[in-house]
Amino acid sequence: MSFRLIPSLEKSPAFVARCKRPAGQWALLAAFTFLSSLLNQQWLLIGAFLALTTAFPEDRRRVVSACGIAIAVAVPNWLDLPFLDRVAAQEGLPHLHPATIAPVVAAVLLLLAALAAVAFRFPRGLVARRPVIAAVLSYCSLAAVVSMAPLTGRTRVAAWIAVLAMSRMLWFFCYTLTDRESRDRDSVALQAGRWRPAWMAGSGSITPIAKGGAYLRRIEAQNADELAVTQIKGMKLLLWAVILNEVLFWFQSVVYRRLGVPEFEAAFGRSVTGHPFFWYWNCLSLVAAFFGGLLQMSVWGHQIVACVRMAGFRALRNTYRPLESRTLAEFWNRYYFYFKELLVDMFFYPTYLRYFKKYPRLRMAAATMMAACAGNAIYHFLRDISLVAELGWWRAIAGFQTYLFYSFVLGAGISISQWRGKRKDRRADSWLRRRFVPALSVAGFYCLLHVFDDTNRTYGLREHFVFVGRLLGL
Amino acid sequence: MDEPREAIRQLVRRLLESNDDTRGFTDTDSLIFSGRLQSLDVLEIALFIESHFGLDLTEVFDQSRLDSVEEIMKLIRSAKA
Repeated sequence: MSFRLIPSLEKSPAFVARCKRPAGQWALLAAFTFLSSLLNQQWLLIGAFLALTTAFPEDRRRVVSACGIAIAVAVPNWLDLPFLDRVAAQEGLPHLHPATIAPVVAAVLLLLAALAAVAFRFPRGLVARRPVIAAVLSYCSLAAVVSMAPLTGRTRVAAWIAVLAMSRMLWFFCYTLTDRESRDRDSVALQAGRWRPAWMAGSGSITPIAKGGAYLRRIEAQNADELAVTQIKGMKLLLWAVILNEVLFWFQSVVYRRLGVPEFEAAFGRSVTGHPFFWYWNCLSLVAAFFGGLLQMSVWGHQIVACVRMAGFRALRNTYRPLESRTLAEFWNRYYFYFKELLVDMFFYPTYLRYFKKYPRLRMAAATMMAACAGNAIYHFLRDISLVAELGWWRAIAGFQTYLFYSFVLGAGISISQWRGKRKDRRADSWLRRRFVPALSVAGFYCLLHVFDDTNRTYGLREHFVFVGRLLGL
Repeated sequence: MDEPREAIRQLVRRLLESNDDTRGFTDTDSLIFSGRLQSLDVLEIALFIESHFGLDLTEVFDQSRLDSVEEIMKLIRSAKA
């Protein structure tokens, strides 16, 4: 039997039976809340939310939505508060209090709910049939108006709170729009509570972890046995996140402090100023940043998915052994599952199903470029919409050149990988050729591409190419 | 013999094997939401339905309706109707 650091408790009938009892459920919840406190500043909120889902399992979906709305309105730390404070300071206003932000967030929720109600009322209308295009264009128009209109004082601050809140809810809202024709879809009120779900309390990410209403309905635990197994898996995942967080701490201590490897930002900064480190330090800093990023993504995603599972939904992991990926497309599936799902659901499938049906290769390449290149770039530009207020539209777009290049290379790489993958049947190959070499190539590709994974708009494409040269000792 | 169903089963078996998944499956087993099939596999199923049954899934495509052999069969029947 293979060794497991965390035993498969969900396979023990006796343990599952214990976790099904009320005492077992509350004990599991107490342990989960304690572990949450080691990773998440909002652990009390998470604990309270899970206490409600535990107390009212029959009303789980309603509880999820009610808590989502309550937390989104009352605890607005999912917004970029330092940015909003800077806008307030520009307008001569004091530090923003949550009570100032809450009414605007509530108004945004009401506005989006009204839009969703219209989409549900007219499911075959043009806007409802092209939900992503409609939502993204509407949002960009709003951001353009707010950034260019002569707004001042409280009105300007409120407008930017609204723009930011919408950017954080946009993709969740798109999932609601795609759910419009489901026979068993939830009401608008229930859907609204998932535009900032409670399990994302404390996270400003705009990626819909556990997707939308349709997905949640499919993965909801259907009986006490399923619920107990799901919650045990959630508990195990959170424990794994705590362990990985320790590994990350020791990794950074050893690599950056004991071995003296420069942090990637420092190595890049030295390269820009013309005083680079030796090529091998640059290479080591890149590899360390890549591995550190994998660990960070794992810890972040695991704690959120663990909470989803604890709430009674059998969600898949966000990150699952990314270094075992044998193709570039598989890497995204394993590294950042819900981001990949978002791009696939909103960009890949719609393009693939509608265009170039007579040209299979072009069809696949177009859909891949639409998702990995266009969708990826749109997602990140809208995520950082506050930079438009700080830099202006031109500098915000021009500064995005590095990430656009990254997205293009990613899209092209995945397209080529898909084409090559179809041609080769590797089942007869040795383990080394079938597993190790492809996995190493994939990791190498993403590690090198990490140089261009920069959305900060501080340095242009040229500086990034110069750094690639430094990696090669040029 | 239910030929369309058998053809779908064979396709699913091939897709699972290409993911190194040799576990068996029943017609009602979840394939997508359980994580056994990926997005590109879903696409292969959609393509297969389009090419073998002459159906256009553009307006009816929904990943959740392809989660098991049984659901795929239901989708084919409803798209044909």
